[in-house]
Amino acid sequence: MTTSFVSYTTLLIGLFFWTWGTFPILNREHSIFYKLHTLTVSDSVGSLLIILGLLIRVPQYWPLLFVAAVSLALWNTISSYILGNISDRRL
Amino acid sequence: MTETIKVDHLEGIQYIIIYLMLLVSLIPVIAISRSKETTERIAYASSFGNKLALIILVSGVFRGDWMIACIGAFILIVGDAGMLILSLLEMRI
Amino acid sequence: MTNFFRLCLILLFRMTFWCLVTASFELTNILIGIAICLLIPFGDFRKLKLYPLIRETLLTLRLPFDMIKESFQLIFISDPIDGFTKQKLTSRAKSGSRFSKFLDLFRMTFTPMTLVTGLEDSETWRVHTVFSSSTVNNENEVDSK
Repeated sequence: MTTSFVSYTTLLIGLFFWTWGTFPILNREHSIFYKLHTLTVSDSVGSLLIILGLLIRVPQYWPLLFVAAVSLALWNTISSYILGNISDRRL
Repeated sequence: MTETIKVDHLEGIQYIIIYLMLLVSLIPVIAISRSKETTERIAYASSFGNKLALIILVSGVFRGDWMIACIGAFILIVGDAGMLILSLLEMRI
Repeated sequence: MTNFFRLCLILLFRMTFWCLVTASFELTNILIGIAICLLIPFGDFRKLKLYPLIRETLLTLRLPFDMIKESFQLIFISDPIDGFTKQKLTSRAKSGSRFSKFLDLFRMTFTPMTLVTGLEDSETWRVHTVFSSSTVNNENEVDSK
């Protein structure tokens, strides 16, 4: 009962980060760099929190969730660096 | 010989979480249709792919069906790697 | 001897990921994993510097707390303006191998407040951050950094 409550709370916090980080990309006034920052909030932090919630719920499947978390962090960081580099060069 | 797969029924809050995630993941589609630059489009598309893969992962874990969650993790890894290669190509041009 | 140790470290790293992906510890599985790890080309592992690498890896463990803290910091900025700052490479990243340089970049880009966009010269990163425009002395801050 307690673990399920903690897991749902973590999932909802991650969902809040997703929502907050995804809404600024509809705004045309922000620059691409600010959008990359908020996409980092939603895609790295929120998704890692959601995976943490799943890990609390099903701890026996930790290997695949761990691989998913590591690949998520690595790919998101590298691709946001590359996109920042491209837009910085065209500035 | 015949094995039946046990599938849990979803509770109310699980439906709410999955539909909220689906609604949030529709925002990048609108953003792609409104933007003109290629780099922004790549960023939004990779965000959309991320979100869909996590929806598959979460729904698979909620159903207690491990195969679906496994496919979600595969889509997460491979889709992000594909987006990375696309942005590398964009950097080269 | 040190080269052998470096080789073992790389093999251990690859075997960790093999065991995580396959999630089984049977003997045949581990043998197949060792064969695949030996088949993948090694690169120039003799240039790997061990001590800076270990320090950088230990610093990476601090990331989850920074991540949560900086995302709340970004959420509470209601009127963002952009700004570029310069940041020195750490001495470990300068003297170490390419991998420790990558870890230095990873630590800065992973947290939501800072985003590395490239190398200014061989010793400084070009870092993009977000300032709040309501704070009066933000221009001074940008200049002093």
